[in-house]
Amino acid sequence: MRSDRLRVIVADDSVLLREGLIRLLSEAACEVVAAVGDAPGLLSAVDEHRPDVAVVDVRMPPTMTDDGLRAAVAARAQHADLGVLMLSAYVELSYADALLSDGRGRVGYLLKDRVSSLDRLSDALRTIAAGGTVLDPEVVAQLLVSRRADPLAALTPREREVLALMAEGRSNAAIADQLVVSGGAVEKHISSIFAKINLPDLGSDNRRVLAVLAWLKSR
Amino acid sequence: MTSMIRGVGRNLAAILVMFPVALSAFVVCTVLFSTGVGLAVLFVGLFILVGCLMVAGWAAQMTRFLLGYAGVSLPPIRYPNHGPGVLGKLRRLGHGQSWRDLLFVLINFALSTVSFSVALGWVVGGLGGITYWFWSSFLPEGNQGVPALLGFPSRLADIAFNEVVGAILVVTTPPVLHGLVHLHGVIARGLLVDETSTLREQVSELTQSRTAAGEAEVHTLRKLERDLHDGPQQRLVRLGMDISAAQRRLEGDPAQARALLDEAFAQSQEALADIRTLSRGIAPPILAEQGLRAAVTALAARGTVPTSVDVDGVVLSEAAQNAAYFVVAEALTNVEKHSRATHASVEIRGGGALAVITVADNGVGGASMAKGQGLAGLTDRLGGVDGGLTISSPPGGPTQLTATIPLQDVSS
Repeated sequence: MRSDRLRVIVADDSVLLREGLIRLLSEAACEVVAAVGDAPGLLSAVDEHRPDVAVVDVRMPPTMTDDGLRAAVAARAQHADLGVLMLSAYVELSYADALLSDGRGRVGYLLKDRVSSLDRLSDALRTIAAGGTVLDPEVVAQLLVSRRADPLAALTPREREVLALMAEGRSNAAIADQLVVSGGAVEKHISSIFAKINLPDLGSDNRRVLAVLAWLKSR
Repeated sequence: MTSMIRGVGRNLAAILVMFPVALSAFVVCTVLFSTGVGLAVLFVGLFILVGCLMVAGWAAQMTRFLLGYAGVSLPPIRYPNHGPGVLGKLRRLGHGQSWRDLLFVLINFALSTVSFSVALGWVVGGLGGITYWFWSSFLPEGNQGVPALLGFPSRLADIAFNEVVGAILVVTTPPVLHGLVHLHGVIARGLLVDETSTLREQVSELTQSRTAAGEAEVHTLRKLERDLHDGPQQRLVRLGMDISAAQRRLEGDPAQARALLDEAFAQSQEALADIRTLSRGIAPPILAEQGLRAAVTALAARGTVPTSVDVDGVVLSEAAQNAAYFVVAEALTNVEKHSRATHASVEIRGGGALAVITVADNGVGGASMAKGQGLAGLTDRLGGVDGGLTISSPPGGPTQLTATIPLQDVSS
């Protein structure tokens, strides 16, 4: 865990949620440097404050469609080191795609429901700030479901669990924690998975997560 | 007897009036037509032809009216609206019925000349015949009638003959006039009724109203999703945040945990209220259970502007009833939000083929279709049941919104 406080911008058009997020973020030892309610506000706030991470609602004014998402993608194009945590009321694979497509990591996409858990939010922000990728389990579940043609069938149930957690952006240690197994067991599962789905093992960093996602999305 | 006399009067009036109409239409149309054709190579000729068709159209409408007056009803023609501008006007030239109108003007003129003379001759001859005994004494001497030529030179025979002929004419007047009117009717039916175009128009109108209804539906669903997203969903997310924040403080800071739980409870209540409002907006239960009058009364009671409600026993189809309800709901919402009125009234009446919904207030006016999404949405919603909407709302008020919904005849 980093000792310095993460500098965060909150962008959500609902005052209710903005307030809730600000309180939550300060509990998570983040410094909220700005809170905005629309897409243009997000862009100028990012320019002004250069935060570590922007927590952004997908749907925001002015058009109330995916303004937040587009603004976040635009902001990342200008500030390569900007982390983005998208929040949405819905799981849309295309939202995840838009964020992941530059392949640089430092992004996350969670359902709004998840953020009530302080640990979850805090973990996600740290992972993103450290250059990783965080995906909501729902998104991963959809990715797994949308892949029918099936090297996946060759995986054992436990290996599928590990694959899903990898896709969510968890580290080996976090996966071991979650499944209550040893780190060695996780590594064994992972090399077995990679062998079965025919991917090179890239170690345990964000490149591995992106490779898994790319593989899940292919076809 | 009186109805027969009225029938004769109407037939006669229709025939007599038809002649000058047919004559003038014939003259104007032939002049315009020949000029128009002559000048067609110059652009202006086309406009003269359009004018010619318009005159023919008016004459045709007038004839329809006259025939209708005499009891021969023809289905109305819908002249398509070809849109504004020069091109719109010129499109009239491609409208088949307009040319049939012109042909009708030509034929009807000839027929009218005959029917006018016959009708006038028959009636005048008949009336003259039966009053011959009176006015014949004023005739100069030496005037020989038909009986004298046949060898009955007496005055009595002369009078008797004229009376008999007059009586025959009078007695046969009703069928003759009737026949003449129907002769016009046959020609008119052949040329002035355009089943195909009427049907086509109906289809296109139905398609339009269906599209509008579909759009209204999509619009409503989208709005519903947005309302769900902005209302209950946000509140529930925040509720989750508050509860988990309270959980984290239960041990260390019970006082703040309690405050957070109070807040969470308030959020849950608000979320419930949001959902209640939304479900009422989707399909108000009271409308299905207790009908329009109760539902509208409930709507009026919910508002803060005192509103009187007057709903008669009009029976509407389910779709029409829904539309009527949402018209009133939207109108009253507008009264509440924008009008600054101190009183409003809702009236729903079924008269003849229409249900008329009137929502009026004594507020500041200035409402228009263009301004609010809501009113345009209502037009679409009404379109779905073939209804229409008009608004009178001058700046300074008062505002009156009138919606009409056709009452569906169950037999049709």
